Formats: sequence, C-alpha cells, structure tokens
Amino acid sequence: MRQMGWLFLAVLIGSLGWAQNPARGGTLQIAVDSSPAGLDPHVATAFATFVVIGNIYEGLTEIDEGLRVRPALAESWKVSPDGLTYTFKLRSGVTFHNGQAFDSKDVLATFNRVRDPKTGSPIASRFNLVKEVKANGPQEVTFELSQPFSPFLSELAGLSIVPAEYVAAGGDLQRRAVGTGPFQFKEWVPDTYILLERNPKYYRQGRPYLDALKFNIVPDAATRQVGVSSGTYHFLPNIDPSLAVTLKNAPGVKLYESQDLSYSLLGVNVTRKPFDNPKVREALNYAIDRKALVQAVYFGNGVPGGPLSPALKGWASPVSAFPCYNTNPQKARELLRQAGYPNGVDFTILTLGSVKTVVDAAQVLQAQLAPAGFRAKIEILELGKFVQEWRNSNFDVFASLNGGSADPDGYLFRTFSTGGSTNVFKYSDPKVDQLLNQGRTATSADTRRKIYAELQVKLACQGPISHLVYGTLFSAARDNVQGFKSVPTRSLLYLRDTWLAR
Amino acid sequence: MSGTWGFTRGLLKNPLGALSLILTLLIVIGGLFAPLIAPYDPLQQDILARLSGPTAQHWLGTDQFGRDVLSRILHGIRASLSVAGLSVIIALLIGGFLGVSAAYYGSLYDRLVMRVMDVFLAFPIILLAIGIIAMLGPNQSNTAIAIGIVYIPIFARLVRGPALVLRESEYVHAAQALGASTMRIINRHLLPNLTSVILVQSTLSLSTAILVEASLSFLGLGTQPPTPSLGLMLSEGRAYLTLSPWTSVFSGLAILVASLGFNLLGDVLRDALDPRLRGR
Amino acid sequence: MFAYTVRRLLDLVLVMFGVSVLVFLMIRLIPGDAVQIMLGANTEITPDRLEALREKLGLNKSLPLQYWDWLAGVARGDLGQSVWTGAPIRGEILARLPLTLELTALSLVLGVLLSIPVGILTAYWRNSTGEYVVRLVAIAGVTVPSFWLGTLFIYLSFKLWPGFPAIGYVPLAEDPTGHFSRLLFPILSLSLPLLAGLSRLLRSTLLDILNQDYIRTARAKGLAERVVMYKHALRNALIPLVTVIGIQAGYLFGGAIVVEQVFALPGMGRLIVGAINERNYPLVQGTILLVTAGFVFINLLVDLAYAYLDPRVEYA
Repeated sequence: MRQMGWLFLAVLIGSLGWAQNPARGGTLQIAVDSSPAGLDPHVATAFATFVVIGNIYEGLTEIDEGLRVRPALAESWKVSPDGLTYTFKLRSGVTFHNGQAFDSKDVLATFNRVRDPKTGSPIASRFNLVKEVKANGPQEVTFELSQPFSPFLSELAGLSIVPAEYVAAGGDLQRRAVGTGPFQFKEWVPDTYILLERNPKYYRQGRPYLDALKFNIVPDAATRQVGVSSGTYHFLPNIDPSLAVTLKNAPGVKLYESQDLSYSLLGVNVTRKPFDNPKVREALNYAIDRKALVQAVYFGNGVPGGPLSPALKGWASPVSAFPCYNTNPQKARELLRQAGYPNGVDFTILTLGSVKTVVDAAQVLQAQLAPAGFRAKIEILELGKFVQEWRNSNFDVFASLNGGSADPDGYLFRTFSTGGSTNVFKYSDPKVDQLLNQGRTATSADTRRKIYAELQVKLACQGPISHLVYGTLFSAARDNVQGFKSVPTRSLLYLRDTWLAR
Repeated sequence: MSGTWGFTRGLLKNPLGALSLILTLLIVIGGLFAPLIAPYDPLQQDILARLSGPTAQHWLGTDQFGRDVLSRILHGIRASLSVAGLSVIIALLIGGFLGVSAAYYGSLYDRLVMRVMDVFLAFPIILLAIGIIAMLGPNQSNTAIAIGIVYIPIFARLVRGPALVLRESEYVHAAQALGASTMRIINRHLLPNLTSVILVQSTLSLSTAILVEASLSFLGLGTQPPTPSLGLMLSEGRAYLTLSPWTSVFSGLAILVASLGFNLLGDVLRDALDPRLRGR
Repeated sequence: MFAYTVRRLLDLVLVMFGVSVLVFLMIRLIPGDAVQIMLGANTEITPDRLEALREKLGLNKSLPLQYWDWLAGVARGDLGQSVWTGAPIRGEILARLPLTLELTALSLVLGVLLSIPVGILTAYWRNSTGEYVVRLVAIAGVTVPSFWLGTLFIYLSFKLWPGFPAIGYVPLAEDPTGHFSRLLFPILSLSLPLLAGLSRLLRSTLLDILNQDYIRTARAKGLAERVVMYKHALRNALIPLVTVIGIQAGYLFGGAIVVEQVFALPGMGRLIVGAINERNYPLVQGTILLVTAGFVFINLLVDLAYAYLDPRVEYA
C-alpha cells in the first residue's frame, strides 16, 4: 500500500514535470496601447518602441529581473583596476537577422552611430565619458573611459547593436529592424500590428520557444481588457494599475508582477517663483499624501518612494529617511508662511496626457494640495506639446512618469547635475554636483552607497522633483502563457523563454 | 406675451411637445443651476467609496476617484450646453450676417459668399471639426469654435433663401422707398421674419453640437480632465466597464437625453411653426 | 440632363478648388511655429532639424508657390510623405481606406435595407399613441451616440458570451468568419442611428404619397393593397431616400472615426486621430482632402441619380 503511494507520487511528479516541459511553436498575441513612431533603437524614447525592439536587438550586456548585469553579446569582460579600461570578449557564431556575422566592427559602427550628432540619439549623453573604442581583432573590443564610470556596464545594456554593413548601405532602421535577438522583424501594418517571427539561428540553445510575436495595437484599455478576458489576446505587457485591478479576478487571466523602476513625479522649475525657494519645495512634499496616492491611483499596488526606486535594493534609502514624507498640511502651511507666502500659492501643473496614471495622479494631487495652500490648476497636454514645454523648461510644475535606471548614477546624474542632459528644472547645487561626481567615479560599492544615501536625503525634500510613487509593474497573461518573468526595467527580455501550453 | 403663452400651451397639448419641453427644461435647469443643485462638488474625491453603483448617498454611483457621478453629469451637461450654445451663437452671428448680407447685396458678393459656404459644407462635419482642432489644439473653447465654424454655412444658407424672398417683397421695397437705411431694413424687416426658421435650426443644431462635443471629448480632442464633460466621462468610465459600468452607462444616457430633448423640441417647433407641415 | 451634368461638374471643380485651398492653409494657419510643434513631439529640436523639416515641407517658399507645388503633387496622386516614417501618405491612406469603406458601406446597406420594412410598418401603424412612440423612438435613435452603443455592445457581449470575438481586427482573407464577427457590433452601432433616421423619412413620404390622388385611383380600381404599396407608393417614396444617402455617408464616416477607436479597428479614423496626436500634419491634410473629395463625389452621384429618378427636378 505504501509502495503504491510512492508510485502514485512518482507518477504525479513525473506528470507535473512533463506538464512543465516547454512546448515549441505558436504565435503569442500581444496587445499594446500605442504604435511606435519608428523602430530605430538609437533614436527611440517611447516605451511603445522598446517593448517591440527589445526582442529584436541585444546589447553587449543585459539586465535581468534582479537588475543584475548579465552577459549578452559580450561573453565576458575585464575591467582594469583604475576603472578606466573595459575589455569585452564578444560571443562568436552570432549572426544578424539578415545573415551577416556579428563581430567587433558592428560594435564600433553602433557606437559611432550613437555618438554622431546627426543621429540625434538621446542615449549619446550616457556615453560622454567614453574616450575611445578599439577593436582588437574581430572578437574583442576595448572601451577607454576618461574617468571611472561605475554604471557603464548597465548603460551598455541599452546600447542595441546594429549591423555595420546594413547601416552603411543606408538601411532604414526606423522601418526595418535588423538585430541579433531571439525574434526578427517580419511585418508592420501601421496602427494594426507588428509581427516578429522566431530567429532560427538564435545562439541560445532551443530558444525562443514561440514561432512568432504579434504586437496588436489596441489603444483602448476597455478593449484590451475584454480582449484578454475573452482569449483574443494572450498577453498585455506593462499595464496601468487600473487595468490590472479590473483583470485581477478575471477567469483564465493571471498577472505577473515586479517592482517598477518608473515612477510618477512632480517636477518644479527652480528658476520661477514660488518654487525657487527650497522651503516651498519642502512644503510641497509635506502637502503630498503619498499613501493616499497609492490607494487612489495605483489601487494599492505601489509604494511611496524617494529619488531611487525600491527595486534598486541596497541603494534606495527607505522613505523613513525623508522627514518631509510625513504628510502634514499644517507644517506645509507654516513653511509657506516662512517662505513669504502666508496666503498660499497659485500655479499650473502641466500634465502628460498620454499616460493614464499621470492624469489620474494629477487630479488626486490637486485635491490633496489645496488644503495646504497649494492651489493647482491642471493643464493636460498631449505628448508632443508636453515634451516641447518640458524641454524648454516652460512650466511651473509638471506631472509625469519617468523611466528609471538600473544604476543610481544613470538617473541621478543626468537629472540633478548642473547642466545635466535632462535637468530641465535648471537645478544647480554645488554640494549635489560634488556628490554626484564622487558617486560616479568611486569604484568601491560601499563608498558609493554612502554617497548616494546622503544625496537621496538632500534631494528628496528640497530637490526639484517630488518623487511620488513607484508602482507595481503588472503584465497580464492568459493562463496558458508559461515561462515569462517580469523585469523592473519594463524589458520583455523573457519572451525568449515564454511558451504556450496546449 | 399671450401669444407665446398660447403657443406654449399648444405645444403642451401635444404629448411629444410636452415631453420635449420637459426634457429641455430639465437639461437647461440642470446645466444652469448645476453648482446649486449638484449634491457634491464634482471634483471632490472619496477613494473609499469609489466605483460604486447607485446608492442612497450617490444616486448614480461614483467614478474611479469616488467622485459623485450625478454631480459630474450635471456639471458635464453645463459644459456641453455652454460649448453647444457658444457654437450655435458663433454660427448664428457669423452665418446669419453672411446669409442676410449675401441676399441683400446680391450679385458678385452673394455668389462669392455662397461658394465659400459650399466649400465648408463639402467637409463631413466631424472631419472639419477635427481638422480645426488639430490646428488650434484641443480644449473646451476651441471645441466650441470648431463646431461653430462647421455650422456657419448651414445658417448662412438657411437665412439667405427667405431673405432673398423678403428683399423682393412689397414692404421692403416700400421701406426702401421711404428712405430707411440698410441696417434698419435688415433689423426691422428681415430678421423678425426669419425668427422661426432660425429658432428651429438653432434647436436642432444644439442637439447635434452636444453629440459632436461628446464625440470629440471621447476621442480626447475636446474638454480635458478634470473638468467634467459627458463624452470624457463616458470614455474614462470605459476603463472600468467590467468592474462598474455605471459611469459609462449614465454619462452616455445623459448625452442621449440632452441631445434627444433638443432634437425633439426642434422637431415639434418645426411642425408648429411651419404651416405647410401642419397636420402631418 | 447633359447640361445639368456639366454644370454640376463645374460646381464640383470650384468646390474642390476651395477645399484644396482650405486644406492647404491648415498647416500654415497653425498658431505658433508648426514645425517646432511637430518636431517637439518626437525628437530633440535643433536649428538644423527645424530647417531640414521646413525645407522638406516646402515652407521656405512663397505661399502661392507652395500651394502650386502641393497641388501639382496632389494631381499626380502624390500627397507627400508622412513626417515621421517617411512613408508615402497615399500608401498609408490606401492601407486604411478599405476597412472604413467596408464599415461605412455595410452599415449603409444594413440601415437602408432595414429601414424599408420598418418605414412601411410604421406608416401603416398610425393610431395616435403608436405614432408618438414611433416618432420618439426614431428621434431617440438618431441622437443616440454610436460610440455609446458600441460600448454597451462590448459590455453586454462580454457579460453574456465572454468568448465571442467582438473586438480586434482580422483581415478578410485570413479568416472571413472572424472578420465579420468582429465587424458585427461596429456595424450595428453605426447602422441603428441611421435606421432610425431613414425609416422616419420613408414613413413620412409614404404617408404623403398614400394620400395622393393616383393612389386613391389605384385603390378605387380595386388593386390589392400590397400592389398599391409596392408598385406605386414605395417606388416613389424611395426617391427622397436616395438623396439623403449622400449626406448620411458623411455622417456615417464621422461615426466610423469614433467607432473605430472603440473597437480597435485600423481604419481611417485611427489614422487621423493618430496623426493629430503625433502632429503629423501632412498626413492629417492628406486624409481630410481625400475623404472630402470622396464625399463631394458621392454627393454628385446622388444628385445625378436623383435628377435621373425624379423627372420633376428642373435642370435650370
């Protein structure tokens, strides 16, 4: 009898194991909310583009679900003790989707393309500290930096390697993407779908499992929701928290979660009254009730956060380190009075209209701020207009959603250093600049941690940004979708491991 | 004044007339006095009571921030009415002026004006409105301007025909012979005779304008949040359709009722004012 | 008839000239710097890029010259290029047009076909309460927003039959059943308001005609009511129906723009709303021009058909 029991258990385990065996084939029907403007990985700024091309291109490195840097097109690397020389050994036997072999010339061509002002690449500024790139034969590349730059390896994950010859021959990367990734570009019907098919020569054994990815472009949230509930779509990547809530108990649908690196924020212009006064910025933080925001906008699925995402474990300071995060409208009023505004202040919040979370957050904030004397008027702008005003620093306050970075320096330096590439706040503080420079050039992790802890406290309360909430990143999938893992960077890296159970 | 009262009583005897009057009165009063009669501030949030169906506290339920749907609908009607009303006034003033002046001065001016009107009429209504908003940028007042421009040719054509007939009539000739100024003739003789056609067309146009405003807001090309607008509420509510369909259902119903009231009224007025249609 | 046709064609040329001028001016009348607004949406603004885009759009030349270049392009069937993808606008439009045409045409056909029996039935059904109900329902039908109907259809079908493929888009060639099942609700949402309007019109013309002398004569001759209705009354009552089809096509198209958004259908509506959001003005221009031309042309056909069908129309 007992033996029978063991046998039964063995059969059960065996059958479970069998059920877990990935099945090959099938097309994953994905629904996304907006159409990419173009597919060029070096020009794109929108999530809509990266969701698609992240499956086509790879960098030398990649960032996994724990935000660790892993090898991708580079098999291994060595860093010189002074932190100035990075030598990468490239993976051999890799070919691009058009059949060309991948080697060091592609890395050089890619780097030069990003650096070329004519390309107008928004990621060019992330490689400002690279002095020189050299190929030592086809399988090795060396990067020389002008000063140590700790986040270099994680920044390289965002540098999609493109084929040198294709680009030199005038290939149009905006419309025909050619990379080395698990899926290759097949067809793009504007506003309808983008179809990627399996790369049969992909270097990871047996990957990908799926025959094709079809990105259906479905702008309406209600339609996406009904679509995944009825089985029309298999997968909705990176959905709004409100959509996640409506799908939470839908039969046949499951939710993948991870901590999002992206965060909602209020940014202020420190050259305009009243926010030129640090006291007013501090008061603004006291007036915000972040916990209520989590409830109202994120349906409870998120955490209040400071300048660094809680996903950056070991780097992010807990919010208890920031006194101004204890909501206190009286204190806010008092600070406003000290700053010379006893009757409160009036201002306009420019709001990014294309992201529902932001529009929702602005409306909740407007209600929260009023009792503390911050009388906000909301002005919703569509993406183009918003980006224009943002770039020209033409705002009192704006509300937006920012993508984060896997390394603290990646986000903090470009945002808060004097003249930083995304410092549209015109923020300039010598102490902050000094700490930022120490942070990026220090090579010991412990020293960096101390520096960033100090920076976070300084920036959280009186910096130009009121960081609000880091949401839970949800993706919704049908029950038969297996093997996917959610990554805080919003990358869909693990679609290469995803399969459809029958 | 007794004439107006008699006329109204006539409308009330007809069940549809009564219904149309009741509906439009409800809408106009609801819209005009929204700040007074709405049970809540339309922007006041109550997260704990969010997405509820109709209850004793919230007769039409609450939206995603726990805002009272009834109060938002009342303010939404107010917004719809002001956009629709403003657009009709723009169209009436400009279109009416163009139509009457074209009829009065005739010849080349008339032909030029009416050709330009034909050009505007060639566009499908929503497409022209969308095009204008693409230029001006989406917000409430631009919506009113866009719809107003779309309506100008309709009013110009409408008043030109009767104005032409009147211009040739005996009593205008008589007035001219007596040395009355052009403005005086237009004000005293032409306009009063056009009142009924203008009244009917304005009422019907209000109905369409409410629909167009709702469509534009639905597309994100009209009123912007957090201002309550019926089309916007319908569109926002759709995100929570399976959790709580109430916001979408009630705001859609409000669009229907508002538009229906004016359309019905226009229809009934046409029957009552146009002797040729009487008794049909 | 020939003279009338020629005159209507001349009218059409004049109107289309005006339409082209208006559409052309659209991009030039934008308050502020159109080029800067367009660029701001997608890339970093540099003086070089501003100049390049200005050059590409031909904004450096004098206005009449710009118009002439643009018109010459349009005459060759070249509507310019989409600012962001560089794809020819003609191709982008042609890719979306079939679906919107299909949606509009099927809704029109369904609306017209259903309106005939409904119109006849309600014309016969003329007691006083019934009359009011019919009128009320008809007017309510005309004023119901089609995007609301669409929303209700999606919600109800989801509640009653969750597996029904009501949304998304499948090309006809790929899966005909799936194609039409996904068009069912959009078509219903568009044709119900149309049905209400048309049946109301048909009913009132039928009532007019049934009261006229020749119908009385036909009845007096002892012809069956069915024959009177179909051979005499209905044929004449359909003529006014033809005239409104031209106008209705425009309304339907407007409705389709919104309904496509509701059901995620990749037609002209999605194209134009997308183009506005990404500030792709040449694409907005091209779409408006082409659709309006089509609309003007349909109205011409309707006018000619009407003149042909109804001998009472004077060609003067």
